[in-house]
Amino acid sequence: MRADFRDKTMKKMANETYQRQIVRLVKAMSRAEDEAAVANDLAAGSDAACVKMFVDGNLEKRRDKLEHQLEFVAEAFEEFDELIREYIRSGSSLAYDTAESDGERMLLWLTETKSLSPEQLDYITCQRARHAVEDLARKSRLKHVRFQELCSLTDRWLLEFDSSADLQVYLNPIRVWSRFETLALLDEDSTPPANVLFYAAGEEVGTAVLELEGQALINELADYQPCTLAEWVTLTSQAEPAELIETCRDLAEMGLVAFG
Amino acid sequence: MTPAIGFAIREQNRPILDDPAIDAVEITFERADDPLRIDRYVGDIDVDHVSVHALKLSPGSPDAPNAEYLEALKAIAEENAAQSVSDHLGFTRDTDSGHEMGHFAPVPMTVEALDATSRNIDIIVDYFGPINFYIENIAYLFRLEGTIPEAEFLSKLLCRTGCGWLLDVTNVYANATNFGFDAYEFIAEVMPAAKRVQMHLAGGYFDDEVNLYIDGHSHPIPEPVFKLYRHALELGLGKVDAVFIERDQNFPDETGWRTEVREVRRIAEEVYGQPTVQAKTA
Repeated sequence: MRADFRDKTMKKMANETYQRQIVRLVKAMSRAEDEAAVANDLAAGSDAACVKMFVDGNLEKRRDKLEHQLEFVAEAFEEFDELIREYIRSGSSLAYDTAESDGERMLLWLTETKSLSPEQLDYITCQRARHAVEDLARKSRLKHVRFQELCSLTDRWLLEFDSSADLQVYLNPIRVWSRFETLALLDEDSTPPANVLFYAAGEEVGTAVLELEGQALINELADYQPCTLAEWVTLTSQAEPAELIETCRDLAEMGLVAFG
Repeated sequence: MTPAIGFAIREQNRPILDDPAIDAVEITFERADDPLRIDRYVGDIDVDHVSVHALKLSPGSPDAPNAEYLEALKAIAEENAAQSVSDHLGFTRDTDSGHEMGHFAPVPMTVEALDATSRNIDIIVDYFGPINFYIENIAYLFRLEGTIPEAEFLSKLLCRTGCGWLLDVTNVYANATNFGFDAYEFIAEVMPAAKRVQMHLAGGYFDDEVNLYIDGHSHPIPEPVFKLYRHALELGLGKVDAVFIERDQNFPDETGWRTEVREVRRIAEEVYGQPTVQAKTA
């Protein structure tokens, strides 16, 4: 066997041995009650009690993070902290967990393993829609930042709105549709089920409950934008010009539309 | 030249980042990685040195760091005009698509771990190009069995990869206190292997229940750490780029923040004004 081939083979085997060790250690240290499995890997002067302290500390941080991420959803549940503990016991975090993904996975776990009321499902739907907006903003950062820069000029453009024929209208690119089935998160005078638009409003997530006509206008603008208001007025089949202008103004004040 | 001095940014210390003693800031990547954020994380802060500190590259894992995570880290670094990026000598996950512990464990100091970690750091250094990468020595509650002493492992890693050393002085102090080795000798042994150095300083506490010093980032920098810091500056003369103070809880008032960073700067200026130990390069 050539020396270099032998060296490469030995290195590959060594890496595979190392990989097996790390996989075993992570499996043991990412969940409580498995820490004793690390005992044989410990150096002299180290003991399993310290491994337990390490693991318990990590699990506490994970619990704190989930409590913070899902504070809103917790309002719809009794003893949500016990559900968090149960979820943590069900499995470890995944590698490269982004800011909200453990919370998102817990919400999926709740829907798959628990019997939930329609109101609880609406709370989960709301939180998942917020996560979806954040995820979209992460993937389309430049579009998000650019649109919010345009939004910063909205107040100025609204003053000239009626007289600026060339003003381009832009629809917020960071938006996600969702649906509430109950009145739990809607105004009393709403009629569920209701389609709700979640969108990036500055550094927060905004929501808009739109009637069918409003939804149609948003979907229409998604196809036409960017366009001037005059062009939209010409192209639309959804509203009269005066109504469209007023709606456009409202959408701008909400942060769903910007001008440039 | 005196290293740049400053804080790891926290919302609690933002109001004092205009202090004349501060010309460096460190961004913790996971805090800056807010998808809805519009402005850059450093905002209007005007300093000489910005560094981005990551938690999940996990260079001690057998697999290479995740490409998406590297991309996200680079995006934050570029957006904030960072000169450097850093992460920890440890592992938080098993494989790229596997499981996560949540915090870094020390690698077993073996030849296999050295090979894997060196390979991963080569990838990281190559990826970031002109943005220098630094590897931080961690504080650990336990050690895994190994065949290479820690100082030698770290020295070899630095020599092999050419990456910088983020010398966490408090971590050395904590580990030396808890595991009975000489912190001064540890730094003296590793320093020659480092081409460039940054430092972390923090204050922890002694946990009587477990009989361990905990690097909690929770208290003012204690006097033994300041002394070790001075020693490290003297040994690393000419190759220390920046020093960052870390605080994550039990925050001081405005005077407390300012007093501490001014003391860190005072010591650095004293050392750099009157060198007593020449830097050695391996």
